[in-house]
Amino acid sequence: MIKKRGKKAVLVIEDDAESRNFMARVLELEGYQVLQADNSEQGIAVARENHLALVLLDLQLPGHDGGVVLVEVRNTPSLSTIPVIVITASAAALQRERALGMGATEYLVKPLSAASLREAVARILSRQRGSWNEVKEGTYSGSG
Amino acid sequence: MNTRKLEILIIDSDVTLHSELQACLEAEGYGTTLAGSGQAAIGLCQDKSFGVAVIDSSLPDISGVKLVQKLEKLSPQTEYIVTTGAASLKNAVESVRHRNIIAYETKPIKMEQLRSLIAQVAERKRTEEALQKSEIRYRNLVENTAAGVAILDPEGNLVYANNALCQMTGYDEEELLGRSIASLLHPEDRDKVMPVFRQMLTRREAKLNLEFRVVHKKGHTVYLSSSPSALRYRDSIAGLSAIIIDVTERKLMEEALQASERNFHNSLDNSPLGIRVVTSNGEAIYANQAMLDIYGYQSLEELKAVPVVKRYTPESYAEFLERRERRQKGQYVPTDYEVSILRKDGEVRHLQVFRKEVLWNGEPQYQVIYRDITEQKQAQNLLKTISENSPIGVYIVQDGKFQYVNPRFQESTGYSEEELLGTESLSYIFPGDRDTVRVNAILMLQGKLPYPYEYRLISKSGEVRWVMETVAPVQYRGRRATLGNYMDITQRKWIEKKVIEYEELNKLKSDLLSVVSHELRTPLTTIKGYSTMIIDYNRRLSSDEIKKSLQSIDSATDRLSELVDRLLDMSRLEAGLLRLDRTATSLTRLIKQAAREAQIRFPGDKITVNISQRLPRVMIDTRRIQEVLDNLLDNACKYSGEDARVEITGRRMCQELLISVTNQGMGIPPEELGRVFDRMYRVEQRLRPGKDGLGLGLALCRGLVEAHGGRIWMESKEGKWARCSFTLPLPGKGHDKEARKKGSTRH
Repeated sequence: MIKKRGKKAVLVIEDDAESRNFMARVLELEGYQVLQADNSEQGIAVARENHLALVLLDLQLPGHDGGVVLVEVRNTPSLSTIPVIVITASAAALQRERALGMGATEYLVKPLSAASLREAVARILSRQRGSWNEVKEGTYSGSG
Repeated sequence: MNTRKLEILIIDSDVTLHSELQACLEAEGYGTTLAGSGQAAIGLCQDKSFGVAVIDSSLPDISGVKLVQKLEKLSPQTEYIVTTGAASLKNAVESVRHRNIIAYETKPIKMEQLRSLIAQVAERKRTEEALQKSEIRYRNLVENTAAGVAILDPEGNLVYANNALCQMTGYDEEELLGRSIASLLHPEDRDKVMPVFRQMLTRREAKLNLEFRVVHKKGHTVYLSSSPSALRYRDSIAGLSAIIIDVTERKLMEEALQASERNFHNSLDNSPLGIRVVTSNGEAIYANQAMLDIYGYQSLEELKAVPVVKRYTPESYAEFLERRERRQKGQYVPTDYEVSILRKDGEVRHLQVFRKEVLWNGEPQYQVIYRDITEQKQAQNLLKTISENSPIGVYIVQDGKFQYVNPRFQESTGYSEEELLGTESLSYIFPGDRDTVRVNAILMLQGKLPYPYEYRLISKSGEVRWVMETVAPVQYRGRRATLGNYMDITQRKWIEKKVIEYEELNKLKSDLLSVVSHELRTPLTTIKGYSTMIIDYNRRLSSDEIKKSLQSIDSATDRLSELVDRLLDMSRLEAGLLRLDRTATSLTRLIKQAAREAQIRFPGDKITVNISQRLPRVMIDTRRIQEVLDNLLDNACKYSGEDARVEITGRRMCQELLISVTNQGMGIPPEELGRVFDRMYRVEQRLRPGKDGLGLGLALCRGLVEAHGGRIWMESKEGKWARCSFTLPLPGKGHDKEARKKGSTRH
């Protein structure tokens, strides 16, 4: 996959096309490189193949639950430090606890505004910068 | 009689006399031997025994008397006749001192006299010999008889005991002789027996059958019986003789017999059962204590003094009279029966009676045994009362058939006792539950099932009644049977079902909330996202992009609106508030239109319409049935594979129209077929992302179809196809009434 230098890659995993398009468009407008997946398996595959800065994950996915992606990311050494923002239609505290317990970095509830999405992504990426750079260096030298 | 010939020895120096005597005596038949001198005579006597010796007193070598003295030692049996030439007093006196000298004859011997003397001797000898033989015989008899023989001296010591007595007592003859009879007697018998002996010694009485015990040498007791008599000698009593018989065996048998008789009487006397012996006339000749206790009388006489009529209850007395009459006529009367008696104190008691013929003191009589079963009867009555009034169904089954059913059982099955008794118990059980009941009942009878089991009964009116049952093994009329008791839990089951339904409803509500929140949030996310994006990035978006975003917002708004409508319809249906706006409608047209529209929504699928004949018009709310058709077609397309073939058919079936929508595809698992019409049911796999809708679709269809008085169902072969069909009633029957009923009774 060809990458634009200097652009951070964000993966959006969401089954609803409209919702996915909206998130992808906002993030593109914010200057990120956006990758998309509409189910868990595809999401995991894309995450493994690309050097990601962040994952946006809808927990309610067809087939496997979005939790599978979260667990997979956290259990894969090369992916484990990638921040994951979980997006769900449920504001229930239980869902939130479950997501954070499984290793989600942030938890957002639908419906999302462009601003809340933008701000959450920016906040996390700035917080993660230090550790991110180190990983970035190592991964780059490895992939050639 | 073979008496030996009397041998006579003649001792005389006178040879002439010899010959004369010899000739004379041999003529008489005696044997004679001659001796010329005393010495010769002594020599002869050493070899031979002579009956009589005739001795000359003046022998040359020895005097007659002296010779007698010598010969006496050799032959004590011999008797002597002394002859002498000159009679002298001296010789005569000497002769007399010898007992064996029987005569003293002076010479010349008078032959006649001698012959007479010897004849006397011969006669006496014969007699003695005969006596001796007889005595030996007696002695042998006494010695060898089976009876014991004893002779006691006046002091009570044994002076004679025969073999049999030795054997009886275990002592040998030496040990017995000289021994005091008292020392042999059993200590307990001494004081009884000894005075009898003493009395006999003084009064000469004979005693018949005196029985006493003797202690055997080995220590055990021997029972003897004797008839002792006094021994008289010269008018005084010289002792006692007794013939003794060992009666030990007889005594032991007698004792055993007596003990057995005592036991028999004891057992009658002490029996806990009342026992009476009556004659064939009905007269009581014996009654034991238990019998008297049952009746409350002190004695048999007191009992007999009370007339029979006063000893029975009136009913029981009538039965008594009948029994008596039958007996008198020789007719059959059962040997056991029950009676109700009146005690002396007036209390009524119930007795079980057994009557049989017995020998009583040698006479055939009737032994009547009474068992007081009052308490048992009362317990039975108590159980009966409990059973008759119990809210529990109680029954007894033997060989698979009802033998007893209580009123509650009759009530819950709707059958009467007459209808139930003798019929197969399993036939009243709901057919699908019979095997379960059989297995559970066997397990419980074996003690392997500790808790009640539940099953369904079919009542006479065909109603299904749920019961909870336990069974136990019992004896009924002497044979194994099963006692069952059950509780009718139909009401409880109904409530349980309601509770489960309520719980399901609750779960559905929370499911509904979660699904609604998800389904509502998805279009909301689109609306919120695109609208904020347009606001925030207004200048950086092309007008084309803005238009597309606004279109997305528009369609999301439509979805939201549709969802809200469905939710409202559902609520109305549930509340029975849905109003149907019925008009006469051609279903053919409606179906074709729905198929056309679905084809537009799912351009990739092939939808075919198959209507076999022209369908009659039906009175329906067109918009609602169209909704149903849209839903079914959408579902069929959504759950098909890519390029699916979906077919919709319509035809008339009797008084209904039947519409089916069939699709090829994954189908529905059999266990889920019944649930697809539940409000929140949605097949888990959602193969076409974005096409899934609210789970309300099929539930709404059911509600709408039922509101029209129709039915709806799903068939499927998993992995191949699924078919959803529904019916609509044709005009003619009161469909409005039907619709209302369905709407209000559905759970």
